[in-house]
Amino acid sequence: MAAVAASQVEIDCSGLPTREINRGIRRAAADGATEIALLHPAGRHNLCVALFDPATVRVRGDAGWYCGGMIDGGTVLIDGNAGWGVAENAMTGRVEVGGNAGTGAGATMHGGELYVAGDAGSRAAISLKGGAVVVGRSVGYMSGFMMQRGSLVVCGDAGEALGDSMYEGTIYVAGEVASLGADAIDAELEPADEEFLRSELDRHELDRDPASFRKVVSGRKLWNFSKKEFEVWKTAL
Amino acid sequence: MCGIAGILFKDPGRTGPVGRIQVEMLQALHRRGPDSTGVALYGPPQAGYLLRARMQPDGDGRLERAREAIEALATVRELAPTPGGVSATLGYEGELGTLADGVEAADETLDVLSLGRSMQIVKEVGSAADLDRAYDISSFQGGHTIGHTRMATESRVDTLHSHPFWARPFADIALVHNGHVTNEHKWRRRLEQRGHSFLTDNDSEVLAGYLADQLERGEDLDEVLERSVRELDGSFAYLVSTADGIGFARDQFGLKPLLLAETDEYVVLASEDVAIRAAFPDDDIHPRELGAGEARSWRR
Repeated sequence: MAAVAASQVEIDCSGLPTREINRGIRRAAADGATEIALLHPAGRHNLCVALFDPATVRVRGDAGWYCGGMIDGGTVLIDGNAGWGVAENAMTGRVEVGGNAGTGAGATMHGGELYVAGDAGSRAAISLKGGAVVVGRSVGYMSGFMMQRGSLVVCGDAGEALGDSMYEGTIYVAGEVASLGADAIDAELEPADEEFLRSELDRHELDRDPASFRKVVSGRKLWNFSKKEFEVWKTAL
Repeated sequence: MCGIAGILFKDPGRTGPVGRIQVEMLQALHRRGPDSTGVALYGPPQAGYLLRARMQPDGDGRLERAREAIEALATVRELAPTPGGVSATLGYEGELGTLADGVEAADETLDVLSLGRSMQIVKEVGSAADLDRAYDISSFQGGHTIGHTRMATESRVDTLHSHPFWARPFADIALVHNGHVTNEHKWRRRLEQRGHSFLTDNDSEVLAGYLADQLERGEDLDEVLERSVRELDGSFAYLVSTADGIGFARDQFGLKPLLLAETDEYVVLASEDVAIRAAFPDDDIHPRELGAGEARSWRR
């Protein structure tokens, strides 16, 4: 570990076990470092998981699976791409991906924010429980599946079965939607939605008109089983 | 869980260090499949057929026994021992299925791993580093390659059940697969009725035969790959290689990972970014995850 300044620390991941890298991050954060840089991450998994201190970790390159998982208060900035499950189960804090993200971006997030500048793979924001997942370009198949709260903002296109079986929460899409999932329905964009979108778009310097987004919410027909709506259930199951 | 990886240099006139690249990618994917490792390597086409066979180690004279078994059917131009069997260059004009079956019948300790004019399949139990130490894969220069690290979930851990699978009896076609094809029994029966034979009970070998059967009937590779997404059940991300190209398909639910990075010079595919970064640490490439149900191919 190399100290650049009192509040800045660099960790070269080359040759270090992932456990040592994450321990190094936590030690540096506990010692008061506010900016921690990971050099040569080389797409390895589980970087920056369970970061509880209010430090900023910059991953200088690609991260593998589950980067920033379970964070609670920290900030993780990934210069390159991220693999499956980036920011999965994050409680609070912020994760940003400069490139593309794999399947399950922001899976089961409870709070905080995940921003993906590029594309996100299948099942983005699956089972989202809070917070916001903002994607600069497109999301893949079955994004927003079973989401329960929070927001998914997609500035590009969305793949098939968007918002399938979602309980609650809101999905906004600027581009084309290949198809809506079971019990996902369109809703009117209200002033509060546009205000939220404007603040997210401004924050990430995304050139989109908030009024151009399509809003998708739960039709709530799957909340309780009803024999009268057998057709809805047949499709969902 | 298994790891798959492939690299293809687009310029048909160019060969590159595909062996080294493949070893680096497969070693990076080692934890996805610690049981066995294999590669299908493609060099310039030869006038004769390249044969790779596994041979059970049972004492002296195995090279001469292999020569006798092969010479009954083909002209042996070169024959050399490998750590797990033999490699040979053959003059042969007939059906490749007849040759492979005949060699195996003549010597029961021989199992043909691959036959082709440009393809050689090398596979063994162990890691990519083990395979490289035994066969010097890293020194191989060629146009393209696919490879696999296996975590066995449904059939035996040995050389024959390792990937890649030669799409027997079609020259130069191989397959690596991560996943589980749940309707493989149906396709196995159909293909056997059409005269195909399989060395193992592995679903991936059936998948190789399924693809090759259609290619052999003159169908376009892209169409075959796209159709496979609809006709095959289960979870799969697979790579197929031919004499001059590679292709991939991913199941409709996107259950198995597969990334693509493409430049003007090359196409690289791998289960995880860690493999691509191991082989191309400094290249300005942006691997993206392929979509659920996506399929595509490239030719040199």
